[in-house]
Amino acid sequence: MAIYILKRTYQLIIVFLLFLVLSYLLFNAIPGNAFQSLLLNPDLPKEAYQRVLETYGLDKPLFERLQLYIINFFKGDFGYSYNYYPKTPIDLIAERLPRTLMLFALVNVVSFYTGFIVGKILAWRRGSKSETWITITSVFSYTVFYPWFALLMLYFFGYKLGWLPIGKFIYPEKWYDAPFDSDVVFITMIKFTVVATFIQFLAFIFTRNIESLTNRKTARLVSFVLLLLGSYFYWGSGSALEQRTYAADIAYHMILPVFTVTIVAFAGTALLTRTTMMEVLKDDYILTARAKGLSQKRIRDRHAARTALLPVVTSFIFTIITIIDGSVLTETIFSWPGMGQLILQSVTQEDIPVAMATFSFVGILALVAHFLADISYAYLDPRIRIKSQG
Amino acid sequence: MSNFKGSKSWRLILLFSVFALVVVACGGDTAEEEVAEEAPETTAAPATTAAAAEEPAPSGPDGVYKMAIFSDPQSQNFWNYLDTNNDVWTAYVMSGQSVSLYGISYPNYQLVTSSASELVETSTDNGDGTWSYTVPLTEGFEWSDGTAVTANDWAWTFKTVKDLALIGSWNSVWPVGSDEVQGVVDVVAVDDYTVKVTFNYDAGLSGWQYGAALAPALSETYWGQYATDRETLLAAPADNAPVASGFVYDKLEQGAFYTWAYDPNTMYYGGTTTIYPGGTEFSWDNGKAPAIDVSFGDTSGESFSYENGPFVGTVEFTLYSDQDAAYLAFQNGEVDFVLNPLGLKRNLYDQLSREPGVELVSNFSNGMRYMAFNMRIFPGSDKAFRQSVGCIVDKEFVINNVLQGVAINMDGQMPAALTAWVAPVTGVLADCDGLSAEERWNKSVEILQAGGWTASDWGSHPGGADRAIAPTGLKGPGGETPPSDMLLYAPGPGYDPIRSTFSLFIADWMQQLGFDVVARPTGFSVIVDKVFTPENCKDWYFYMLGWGLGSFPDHPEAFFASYNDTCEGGYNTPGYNNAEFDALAAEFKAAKKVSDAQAISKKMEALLFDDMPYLVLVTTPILEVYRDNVSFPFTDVLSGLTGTGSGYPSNVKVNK
Amino acid sequence: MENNEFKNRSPKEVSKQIRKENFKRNWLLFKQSKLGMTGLVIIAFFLFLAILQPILFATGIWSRGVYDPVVGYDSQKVDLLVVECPKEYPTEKYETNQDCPAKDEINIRVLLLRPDVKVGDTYEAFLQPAPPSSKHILGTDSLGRDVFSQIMEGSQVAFLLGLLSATLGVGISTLLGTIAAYFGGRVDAYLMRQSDLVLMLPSLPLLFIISAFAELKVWHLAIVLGVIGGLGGSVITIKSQALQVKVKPFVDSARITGGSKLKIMFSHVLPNVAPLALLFMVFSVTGAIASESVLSFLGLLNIDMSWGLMIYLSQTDGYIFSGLRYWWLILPAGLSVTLLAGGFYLVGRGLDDVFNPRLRKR
Repeated sequence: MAIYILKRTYQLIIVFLLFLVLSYLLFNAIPGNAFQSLLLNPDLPKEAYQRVLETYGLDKPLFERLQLYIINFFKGDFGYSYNYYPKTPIDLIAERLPRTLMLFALVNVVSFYTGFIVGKILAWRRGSKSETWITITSVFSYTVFYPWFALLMLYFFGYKLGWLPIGKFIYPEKWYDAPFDSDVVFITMIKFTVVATFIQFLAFIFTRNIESLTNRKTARLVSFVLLLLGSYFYWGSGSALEQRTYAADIAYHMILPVFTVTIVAFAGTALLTRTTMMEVLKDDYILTARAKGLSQKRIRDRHAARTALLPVVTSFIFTIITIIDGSVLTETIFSWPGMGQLILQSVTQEDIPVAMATFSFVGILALVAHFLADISYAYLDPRIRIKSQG
Repeated sequence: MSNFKGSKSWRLILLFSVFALVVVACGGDTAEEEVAEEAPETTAAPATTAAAAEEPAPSGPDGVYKMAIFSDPQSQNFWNYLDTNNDVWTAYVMSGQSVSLYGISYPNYQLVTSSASELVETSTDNGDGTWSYTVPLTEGFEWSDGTAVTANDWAWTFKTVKDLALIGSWNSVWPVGSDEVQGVVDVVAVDDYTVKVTFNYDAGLSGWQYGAALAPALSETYWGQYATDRETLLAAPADNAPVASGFVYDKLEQGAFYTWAYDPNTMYYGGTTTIYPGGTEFSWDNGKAPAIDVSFGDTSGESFSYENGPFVGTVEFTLYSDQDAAYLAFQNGEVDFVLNPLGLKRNLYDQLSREPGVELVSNFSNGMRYMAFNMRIFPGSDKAFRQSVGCIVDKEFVINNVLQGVAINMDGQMPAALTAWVAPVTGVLADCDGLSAEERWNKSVEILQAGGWTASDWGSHPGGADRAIAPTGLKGPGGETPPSDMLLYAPGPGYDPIRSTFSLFIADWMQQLGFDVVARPTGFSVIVDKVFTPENCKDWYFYMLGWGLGSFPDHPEAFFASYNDTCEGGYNTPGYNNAEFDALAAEFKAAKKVSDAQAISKKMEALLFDDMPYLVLVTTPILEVYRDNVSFPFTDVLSGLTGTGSGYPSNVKVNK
Repeated sequence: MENNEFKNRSPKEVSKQIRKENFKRNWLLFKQSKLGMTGLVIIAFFLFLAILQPILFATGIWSRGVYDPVVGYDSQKVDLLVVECPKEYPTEKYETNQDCPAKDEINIRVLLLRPDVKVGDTYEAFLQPAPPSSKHILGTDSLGRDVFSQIMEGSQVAFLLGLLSATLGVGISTLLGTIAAYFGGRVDAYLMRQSDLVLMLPSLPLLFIISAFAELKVWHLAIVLGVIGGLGGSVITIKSQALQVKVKPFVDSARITGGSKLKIMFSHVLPNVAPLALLFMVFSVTGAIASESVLSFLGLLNIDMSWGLMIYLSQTDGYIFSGLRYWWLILPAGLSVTLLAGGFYLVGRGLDDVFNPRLRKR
């Protein structure tokens, strides 16, 4: 195992280097450069444009620039953004990341959970009429033309009904006198959400083995109420108290994007869960469980669902990347300037330092996620585990 | 089965609880908690408001003027803005951190004084190859930190631009003169209130009145401490920089909104402006600022007057990254005005006209869209060819029928609103105006024949709306065959439907004349890269782009003088080379009176109508909307409310 | 019966016969899947549309000048009465602000650039976009082009794009996946890291970069999408499937009887991976159609016509929030993308039932 991990790590580094070089070359293959708009100003003397290129080192040959970039990269120097000079790419990522993390972590959790539940129901109702209809509906909600759908949601809930804000993540007038930046509040919210989710998850694990359904329900309800109480005290004291109204404002602005993305994204998970679960249901050990006379529900929840979770979890790991790089469409339509917009914008405006930094940031996370997925998959799946032992 | 149902609802409850957990628990229900949360707020807030209240604020206006922007500004630092971070969004939120000698008054585009006390039109020849303009300043203007605006600020600003080798737009507002470059060589403070600007050539209107005299100067007292190198200066904090306007930066929330607040100590408020068709009158005496009563240009004819503000306490710029969302918010009354440099689309405009509380504004944009011929290579090098294309292209048909009036025909180089500059249309464009498709085709063939072109079969036009039978075996006057598959680069339908539609029709018309031209939708940056790179100056046949124009129409010189050829790094993409035109261009550059410049410009245009390096296509209307709770001093202005005054925050009135 | 038939035939024909039988059986299974059939009907419908358009042009029923989806133009002149809409509603004539101007009227407020026009005048305009009529069954767009013809052109684009990119992508990933599984070792490591590399690149910006430095026509885009899809994650999945086949007894026996590596790979392993590959293909059609429409919607592609572009144009022209007033500009294109992508997905579901015997009905 250790040798395997070592080998993989070595490959990981090679792949990352390749990735860096490839991305750099790709960005430079785009015609023009970040300062091309200066060419459209006839009042600018001829050599002024040349001076801009010199200042930003764009006049050097490509190979020399590439070499310089790679060396600086490993020194931890990512250069300055061309468009937001003298900010560095790190400044920009630090500003955008909390917004994206908060929104898309929640979006992913909610849509995966919804999808998992729907998928479980679908698998269990196999062959029934309702299955066909639910499947067809979820397929079309999965393939709906997303930007159009999102704009319609905005129109309906934001304008027609007026229940929810039309995009943005805060109401400016509520923040005129805010003593801190929105990022500070975002970070507090992320911390809180992570801890709360973790506690909820723990409660879930511990109550899983309670045999009686009513007891389990009660236990979970109690833990949930405790968590609510805990969060009430958390937001009622210390620095969190000051940030509470602001956090509420952000949370209010999150409702519509989360809801919209969930409607579109849950179907993917639902369909995947259905397939894997149906395969598992036919497996021998489930048949044994059935023969043992265990209740349908117990089979479903304790045996089938748990095994079926595996591919779903793997696909979740892969989608973690989207938590980081966000979604350009969602961010644009809901005016939520985050990583997705930053990446696309830096590429379209040829802000190479920012594009490189964001690409590598996402790339590293993707690599590590694949790496972990490989190892944990090999470790978790009993079938694979047995094979590797044999 | 019954077991399931309970379980399903349990799951759903749980699902919503997780969601609700974040939403509800995060902030508690705002209504109920309001009482508790006031405590920390009151400790911080009153301190500032109380301090402000003690000042006998000169009728400190209140009310909020809200504008939507589509993109995060790149910086708040004026130095950075004019360096390379100069997109329009940065320009909009940039507070008045600079002063200039002269200014432009809208909506009549009249040159007026700003910090200077008079318009200086004559230069002195220093005899050493340099010429100077000496301008007196109005005494008594102050920066918002209380220091005086002096001649030193100009001298220091120029010195900083030069010494720190600032780049980007600084080089166009303060072009530093050198052996090769015509520009400013020195700016000296003769005394505290006299600025002397020295050029290495005898600068005319575009170099002086509309050049250096409009260039910004910043406060040395504040910025001097950061002017050690370019990076430090560009990174310097700007939120507390002294300004020369009624507003200072207030809250800057990246990615969400920016606000300006009225500065209660400002001297920049009040005054009456009277606008004539060809002149401007300005009287100002608020007791704090120096009293001014001046007039410029021809103060006769119909006029209107307005009071200057500011009339609002806060100016808010809210970011919407999606334009539809921005206009939806506008419709909802969340913003009063949308800053949109391109204006809104015709249909949205029609739709918003149905909404209550929406006022409409429509103006012409100060710009043009055109097709350029590459005059360096055949067939673009042939005058008869260019003229025949100019004749067969039925712009009116495309504009009126296909594009439904979303664009307005433009033949010459000057926007129609600049009436004194517009030259009469001559040449083929005038000859072919109003002809039918058949007549145009026949006329174009005649032009080709007269130009020495030959064909094995000249084809014919069946009349009506049908396509012509194109000539075959076409040969130029020198016997050369036009190449096949010539590309016409134009932005795709996604980027600009107007140019894309035009390109398809023009390519088709050229096909009907026997030239194998294909319209190729191409990315904007790809076209720019192709046609503005000196090495590629012979690698294209035709392209379509547009120009946004400045407040002084000196662009024909930049676009068509032979010394500006793109092969040598200039803006003359077609490679137009006409000695007669060059001579006029030089004359134009030296002209010191607007009326002289206009006469020369008309002569230049007559040459362009005949030679046709560009086929000027259209200009577009700028459509804007505002909510009826705000009012502007005027709304009819070339290039619109966004393009001229960035939404006029210091003149707008808000009643809520 | 069957035995008799087989006796008189060469082995090649026999295997052909078996394949035929197999196909028949699978078709019967597929027919039972309601989902699959729904999908198939949808695909057939759009295929019909895609084929119909060239026929209409070729037979001269449609003239290019009027019905061409890109440069066609047709518009009728209408006389509009110039009116001034009131500030307050309701009035005698109009119930709400949405009623003014009425169908044959125009609001003087939008004619600010025409100071010569007065209230009560007749204003001559071209009806664009025109609502559906017998001549244009889905109306025309703001440039006077037939929307139905554009939908047809769009479905040609979607099929070309979807099928070409999916075939290419799945071809590549099946081949590479099988090779990785069969040869293992360094080849495997190389191919897997290559997939990692492709997966690391964010797809939307990547597609933008490629479309920026190369002139992308529809089939170029199809190839790009195919190659990116083919080198990415599907190689990993196909490989794991091939690994399971590799350890099956019949592969071992083929090896013992001395089959060459290549032969075993092509005649034994590959056919057994094929069903999964087919499934992947169907799903990647969905992905390709979605990618194109999103890229077009962001205005990042330079192609003449597609469903995504239709929506993009109606959005930039400001029709998207017009409710149902201009439904023919938004609904047909939006629904087409959704339906065709969903149709392929449903067929994939149906195929899944066929090839995954364990998923069939109890």
